[in-house]
Amino acid sequence: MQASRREFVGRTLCGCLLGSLWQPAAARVLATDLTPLVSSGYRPTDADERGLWQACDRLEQQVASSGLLLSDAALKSYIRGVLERLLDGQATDLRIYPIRNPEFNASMTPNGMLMVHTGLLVRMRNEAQFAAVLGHESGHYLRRHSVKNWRDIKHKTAAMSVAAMFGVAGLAVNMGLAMSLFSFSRELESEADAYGLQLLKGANYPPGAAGEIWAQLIGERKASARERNKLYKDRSTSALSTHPPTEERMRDLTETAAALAKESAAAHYDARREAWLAAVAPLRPMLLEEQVKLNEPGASLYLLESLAQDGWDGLLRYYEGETYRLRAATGDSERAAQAYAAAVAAPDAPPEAFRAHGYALLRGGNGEEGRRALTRYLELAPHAVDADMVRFSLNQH
Amino acid sequence: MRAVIVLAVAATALSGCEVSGYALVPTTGAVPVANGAMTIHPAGAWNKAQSAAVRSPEEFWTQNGPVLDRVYFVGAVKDGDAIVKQRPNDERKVPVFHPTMTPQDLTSMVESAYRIRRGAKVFETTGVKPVTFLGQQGVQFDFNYMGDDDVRRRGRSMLAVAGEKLYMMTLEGTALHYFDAALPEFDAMAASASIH
Repeated sequence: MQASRREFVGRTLCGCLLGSLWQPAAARVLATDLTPLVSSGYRPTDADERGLWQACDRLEQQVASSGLLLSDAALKSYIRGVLERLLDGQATDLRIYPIRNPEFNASMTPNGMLMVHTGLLVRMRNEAQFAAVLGHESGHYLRRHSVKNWRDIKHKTAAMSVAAMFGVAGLAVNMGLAMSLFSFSRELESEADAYGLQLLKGANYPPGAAGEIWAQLIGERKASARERNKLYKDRSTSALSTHPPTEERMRDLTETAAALAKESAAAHYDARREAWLAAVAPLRPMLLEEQVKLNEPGASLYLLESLAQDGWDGLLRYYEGETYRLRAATGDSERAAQAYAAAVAAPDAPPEAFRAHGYALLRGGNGEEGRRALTRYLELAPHAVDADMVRFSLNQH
Repeated sequence: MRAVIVLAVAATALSGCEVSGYALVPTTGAVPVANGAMTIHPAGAWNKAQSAAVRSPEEFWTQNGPVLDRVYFVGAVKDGDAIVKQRPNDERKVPVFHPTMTPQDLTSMVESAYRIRRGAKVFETTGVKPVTFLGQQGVQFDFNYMGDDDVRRRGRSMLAVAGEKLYMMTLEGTALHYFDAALPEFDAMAASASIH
């Protein structure tokens, strides 16, 4: 019961109601005249906000002990560095929790708990893009959006508040109120977008990074739709959409970023791509495994090709092969075999690439080379959990 | 017991499975499972879920409720079919079965099923080894996983291909107590399993 309560609280407070997720945006807000409403060391004063913070403190205790937490001191230290670039001293008010979850998301609660999904880490291409998401979440935090949303919800009918807790299906009980609830949330999202751009610019990150994220997400969704022979739909057309209206949002962010860049044409921006790649490199096998094993081939291939813009390496080729192997459409055996062959030719091929290469060769009738690849796998990973199975396969061929 | 079943029904409903009730499995004699594709000799007291799963390749039993332990039976899966029921346009699809699958293909198929259908966010393979299952050369796949409910679970799948069809039994249970408690009975049932 503890677990289900944790899930419920997490969804309700941080997801549906507070609007602190990376979620829908409404009309474009100019990145001017937005000042922080939270100063360093801020503590809530009135009853509404104190209650909200207490609920979030309880949630944080549960998150801090969750088995889904990614305990990685180096990563947390890196994220703290990005927050300090964005927020200076105010970054010390925030606590960082990387979470194992392949969905693209991040959230920040009003008490300063920042949760970053691994599905976000795998998709960002430089520090500026990552900072754009943290800037957006910081915008919610510094503008105290959650307490605004909380009060707004409290002013609606009691029935509506209860319904809201049960998500979109529950909201259908009162479409009018539901529409106003989502509209309000989208306004806050737009404000957070604009505030995030200000923070980006202030930290010398290129403000255009925020729009790039949405371009990438749209590209990924289109690739996924194509794979399934479906037409891509920008989900902003749904009034009750809980997904970002991405085309519109990308346009707003790009225009605002261009305006900001024009204001200070001489500014020297740095996306800090190398720093980003160095920070996520140790995590990349895990991040790609999470994505590829979801067997969403259109999205996975789009992602892999994006990551390979500077050249393919052994790891990327291995996961390209894995994507084809799991899809198993006509011709995919050959595509997977080619990808594995390319992977093991690279100096940084993971041991698993030799296993996959070996089985692909055996399937293709090339017993000698297949056995050689499987033997190499066992040499590289003698204590692998499937070593007995691979030895058995070797003896069979 | 009734409370356990009510809780089990509620929990399973939340997880997306439609369970309309449970029937006690006879503890003696041979019992057909997976739409009659296999026969096993049950060990211990198990409850068979009565559900829409009749139309799916899956059948599951539980001792203490599906949140705590389950045994799945999947039988006679044909070339091109999946071990779970799914639609052609699902965004994420569990890889379909092919008789030419290697051990790594079989285990990654099960892993994807857990990631896609059971919401596993952390999935770790702890063992893959050759075994005899259903009188065939088979694979024993051991793993653990954790989903959004933050409960660590362990699992063991026994897989074999016979007559170009896939047969599978899987035990999953909470890493705290229930998996270990059910494992001897599961292993005994797997050893007793035969193909019709």
